[in-house]
Order: sequence, then structure tokens, then C-alpha cells
Amino acid sequence: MKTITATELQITLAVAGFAPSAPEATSIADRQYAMPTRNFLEGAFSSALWSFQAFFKTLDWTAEANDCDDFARIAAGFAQILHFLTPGRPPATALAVGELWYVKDTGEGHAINIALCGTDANDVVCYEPQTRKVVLLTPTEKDRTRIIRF
Amino acid sequence: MKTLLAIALIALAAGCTTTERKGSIQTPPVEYVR
Repeated sequence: MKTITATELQITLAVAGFAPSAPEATSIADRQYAMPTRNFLEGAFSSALWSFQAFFKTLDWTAEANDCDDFARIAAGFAQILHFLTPGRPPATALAVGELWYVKDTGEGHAINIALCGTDANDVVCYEPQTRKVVLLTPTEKDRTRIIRF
Repeated sequence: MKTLLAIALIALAAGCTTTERKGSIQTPPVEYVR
């Protein structure tokens, strides 16, 4: 399995246009990351995330108590659980699925997930956990990245 | 009769304090980039 270092992860994010102006706004906690395939995110992961949230009855958006940042946090944490449970996972790795806070073109703050499914800029995938779909951010939305956490 | 009533009350109390969870959580293995 291909893995990347924290430095490579940060460089790939920057090349893809996700570089918060404040350096401390990017938190990369681990030294080495395994990368999920895009097919996994859009398929088995999305289905499993739905089952997780259905089990705990947290599928419905609720102001403050279960809103965008909560959906993003849950999705990133659940991805980490699946990584930990995967037999034969690359040793001593985290999973390159994180959280992204940014300001939408409408001016509204929003939180979603961001994942690296490879080391090219095009492999940086934004994932909306409320719809369980891959989404595209505009260049101006990328410029208004506020927090990235892996 | 009293025993049955006691069992029924215990079961009712347990039902009132436990949040029911239906279904199961899928835990597929991660497919990694190779």
C-alpha cells in the first residue's frame, strides 16, 4: 500500500489550493498516512457511514447539536475506526481523511471532509458527509479555507 | 401472580431506561491506494 508523510500530505493540499493563510490552521497529527480509494469513499464508506448514523439516529441535521461540523467530525472519526479495524492495514499509519472548515461563496461557514486519494492535486477529494457525496469547491472557497485537521 | 407482576414491572423499568437501537453498523475494510 502507498503511504505518505505528513509533509507530503501538506504539500499535496497546498498544490491543490487548500492552504489556510494562518499556518496554525492546519493540524496534521500523525507522521504517516494511508490513503483510501475514491471508490471506497463513494461506495462502502458512504453506506457504512449511513448505517452508523442511522443506528444512533443522528442522520437529521439539528442546529448546533448535530450540524455540519458534527457531521464532519463523525465521518472523520468513523473512517478512522474502519481503518483501525481493517486487517492488513499499513502499520503505524493514520488514514488520510480529515475535516475542512471553509467559507462558502454564499458567505456561510461550512464544515465537510477532505481526503487524499493519491498524491496528485486532483486526488484531493472533498466529501459532504450530510449527503455522503463527493463535492467540488470553487477556487474562492478553497482560498477561504479556515481549518484543516487530519 | 405477584411474581409475574414484579417481572413485568422490572421489564417495563428496563425498557424505560434503555435507548433502543435498531439495525447494525457496517464496518467494511478500507480499500487503500496502492
